[in-house]
Amino acid sequence: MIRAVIAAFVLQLVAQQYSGVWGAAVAGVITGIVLRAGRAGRTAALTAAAAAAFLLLLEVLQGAALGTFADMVGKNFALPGWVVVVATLMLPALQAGGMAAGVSRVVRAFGGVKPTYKSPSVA
Amino acid sequence: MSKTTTLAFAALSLAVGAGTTAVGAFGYGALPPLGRLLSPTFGLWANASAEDLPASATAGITGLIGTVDVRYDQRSVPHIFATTDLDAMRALGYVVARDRLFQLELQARAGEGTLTELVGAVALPADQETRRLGMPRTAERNWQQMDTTSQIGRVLLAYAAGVNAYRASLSPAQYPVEYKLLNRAPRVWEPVHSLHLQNRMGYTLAHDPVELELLQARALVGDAAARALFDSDSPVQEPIQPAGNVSPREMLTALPAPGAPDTAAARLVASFTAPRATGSTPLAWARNADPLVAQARAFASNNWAVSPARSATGHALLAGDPHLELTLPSIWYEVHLVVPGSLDVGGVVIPGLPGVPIGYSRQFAWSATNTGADVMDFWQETVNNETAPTAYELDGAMVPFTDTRIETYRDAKGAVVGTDTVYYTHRGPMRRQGKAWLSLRWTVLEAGLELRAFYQAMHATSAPAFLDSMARYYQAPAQNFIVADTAGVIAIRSTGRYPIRADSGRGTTIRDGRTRATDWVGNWTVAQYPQGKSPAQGYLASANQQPIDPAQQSLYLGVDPNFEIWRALQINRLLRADSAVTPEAMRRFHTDPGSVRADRLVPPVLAAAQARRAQGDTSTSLANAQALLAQWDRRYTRDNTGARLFETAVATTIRLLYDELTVSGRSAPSVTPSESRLLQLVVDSANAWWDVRATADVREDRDALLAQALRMAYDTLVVEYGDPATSPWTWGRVAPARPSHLLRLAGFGASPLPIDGGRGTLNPSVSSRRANFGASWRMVVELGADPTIRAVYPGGQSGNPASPRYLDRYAMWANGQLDSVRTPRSAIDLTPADIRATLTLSR
Repeated sequence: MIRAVIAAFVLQLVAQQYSGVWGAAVAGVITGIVLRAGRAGRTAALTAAAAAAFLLLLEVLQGAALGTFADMVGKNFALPGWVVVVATLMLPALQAGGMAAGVSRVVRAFGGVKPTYKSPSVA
Repeated sequence: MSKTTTLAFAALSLAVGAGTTAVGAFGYGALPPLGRLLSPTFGLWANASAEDLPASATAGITGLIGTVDVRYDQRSVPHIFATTDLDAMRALGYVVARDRLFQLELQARAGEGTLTELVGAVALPADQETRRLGMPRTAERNWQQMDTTSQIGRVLLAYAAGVNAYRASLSPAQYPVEYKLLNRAPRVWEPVHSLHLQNRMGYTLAHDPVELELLQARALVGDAAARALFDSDSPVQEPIQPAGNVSPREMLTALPAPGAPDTAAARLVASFTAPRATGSTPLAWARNADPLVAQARAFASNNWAVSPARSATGHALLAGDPHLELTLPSIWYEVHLVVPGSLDVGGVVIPGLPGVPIGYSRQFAWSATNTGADVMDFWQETVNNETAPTAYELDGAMVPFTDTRIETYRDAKGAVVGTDTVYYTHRGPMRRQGKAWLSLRWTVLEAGLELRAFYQAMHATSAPAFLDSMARYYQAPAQNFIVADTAGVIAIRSTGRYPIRADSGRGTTIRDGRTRATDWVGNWTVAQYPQGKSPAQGYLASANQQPIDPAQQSLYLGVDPNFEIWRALQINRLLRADSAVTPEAMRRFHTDPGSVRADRLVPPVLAAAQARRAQGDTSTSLANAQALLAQWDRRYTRDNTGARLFETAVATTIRLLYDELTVSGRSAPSVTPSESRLLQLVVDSANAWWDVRATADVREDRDALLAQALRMAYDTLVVEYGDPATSPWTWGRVAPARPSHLLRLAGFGASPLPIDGGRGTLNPSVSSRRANFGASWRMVVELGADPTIRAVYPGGQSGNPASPRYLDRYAMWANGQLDSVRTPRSAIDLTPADIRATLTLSR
């Protein structure tokens, strides 16, 4: 399970870093196909949000004043800055989670359940 | 779970995933593409961390002759060391684009009338005005007619090459944040864009439909009263061209009482506001009913120079202080250009223009203020077909239009959001206004050599040579150029093209378009321009006052509403009182809180309050207001608590005083005379203007109206700011400076900061609902053997709101401080400790 989560996280990281808005969705599809288990959606969503958070952290390490800039951007839309940060994490999570959950269900419906890892509940 | 249920959930999940991805990628309705915006790598966050000025960088520009060494000093000012002028211009384009790419495009589009293509239909009124005035046509024709191998043609091409080299180096992740918010990409910079921007400056500084204001006033109060207010000279003369007086010349004659409406004028106004009119208010198209458009014209500026004989250092001194809209990023960008043997100039440029409008060289320094000259006239035309005209009447014949342009306005996606047909007579653009057809002639539309003027002037070696270069080519917008040199010469000249009219000689009435006899018949000669050179008084100063005393020069230059007297009186007062001026005093003058306006107008207001109370007025508000105003020292320091009351009282006075100029159904006057007229009225206590029409059974006099205005102002401010006894109306709190973002994005604007200064002072940098303008660049130059320059502007060099260089000068500017400007002769004059970053440009 942990290896699968780590793999999904790395996949999200690479996808979002190099493919932007499409990356999270594509990585979500791949996660759904590979995992095919009932938790594919949650795994993809969490790893997508974590990857976005990690990339934001990288920006901070490169000198970005994250909170200040979030407040500036948020003020342009009459929103608090934290909403902008949450939206930044939520959007890839919804993209990846939705795609992974959908694809994994389709695969399960037509290809049978053959998870690539054994979750504790299955074991 | 059944297969059907699984598939249903699958479809739902996929819909969520695909839907958010689609919205993220393409947006939906008014929602921008959030995925692109919020991507940590490609979106807004990328701008937060972008090191927009890396310590070392290299880049290529097509056409460079040699390598250009750019050294950014610790103030982020790029010092450009090039081997040819054209290479310097290429580098200038590059460094300006590097810091201000979005501003470049936005300002050029404002002059081109294509803002809708960048920001959408919200900009349609501004674009319509721009195109109906014929501005883009002029720029396009000037570029088409320009020899691209000429000096300026090559300069424009070189500058564009620099801008485009930077643009081409960007990935979408590196686009300025505004492009990401608008979901747009930077467009290619064409040389004609510089000409559009130049026209935009003309619009900002020389759009002055005085005859339409006079017409409106005549329609309301008759010809005599209207002309006394709107078609006359300033009542106090402290001109730019020294008149040899030891004090201002005052002409506080009695103003004629408001009379019966001028029926002919009223008919004309009515014809302009017929149901077919596109504007909803009389003369709206010429007077900018849109406050966002209107506020951009509420400008003023100061400049002054001191001769060596009056300078404590024995060197000539010069101060520049242009007042423009306070935006972020600033309208100015600071640079220094060095081409050995050819060019060594610094100062501020307008992003998009390859020239230094205000700055310094090794030999001289210069600055500019607006002349306020009337350089725009209107003609009423007669056409052959009211619905689809093809010709206009001229000297008894129908003459085809010189041009007809269909103007198409498009939004960001290319969809048409509006169209216009603009006709051109031999005078200029013509359009229908109500039932009438009005054409206009405007010097801005007939100019085009201004860049050449600046380019030649930058190569001058003395103050007189600088002014002569400007006089040879510079036409619009007319500016009071002041200059001082290391030889001790100080000089000023109101430079530009000033038309000479036929018949009355004045540009204050709408002319009959059916005859050429009403056309302009010539221009002022340079010798006739208002000017002065090293005068006996030892200083020169301009602050948008009437440039020349009409007692010295009777030719028509403009009318009082286009001038302002207060700052001119104040700077002359300061300079007269100081026979040993220091650079430090020059700096202090920039933010001097003294106000001739308050000194002249507060006493009558206080006297009026006292008189009314003595007559039995028991109003507590009036008593409190009088006490508060009496405590004020009439200085606009940030800590004072009386200026807010005075300002509101003056505004209320004007509203009550000119109620005869208020169109039925409106709460404020349609046209407002300049405040200088108050000087004539306060010495004329029984003038009929003081009477308030709404109180038909009472005839108010000066004291009654001034006291009423003071009381009303007090009550208004109590509601707005609370009881001043417990919550003082501290100026810095209730009238701070607040530069706003170019797109008026609240998050990218500056926090309000208190300042010393206010309306009528030398530092009128106060924001309000309708205006946000002020000192856009302050500069003091001591013209010693090697000029010493100190300067500041509000904001910072970077246009990136997340950059530490976005607002790094703001606090210094608000406090009236100046920074030392570096002027290295070569790259090695800057030590490593002086350098913030380097940029090497090569082919």
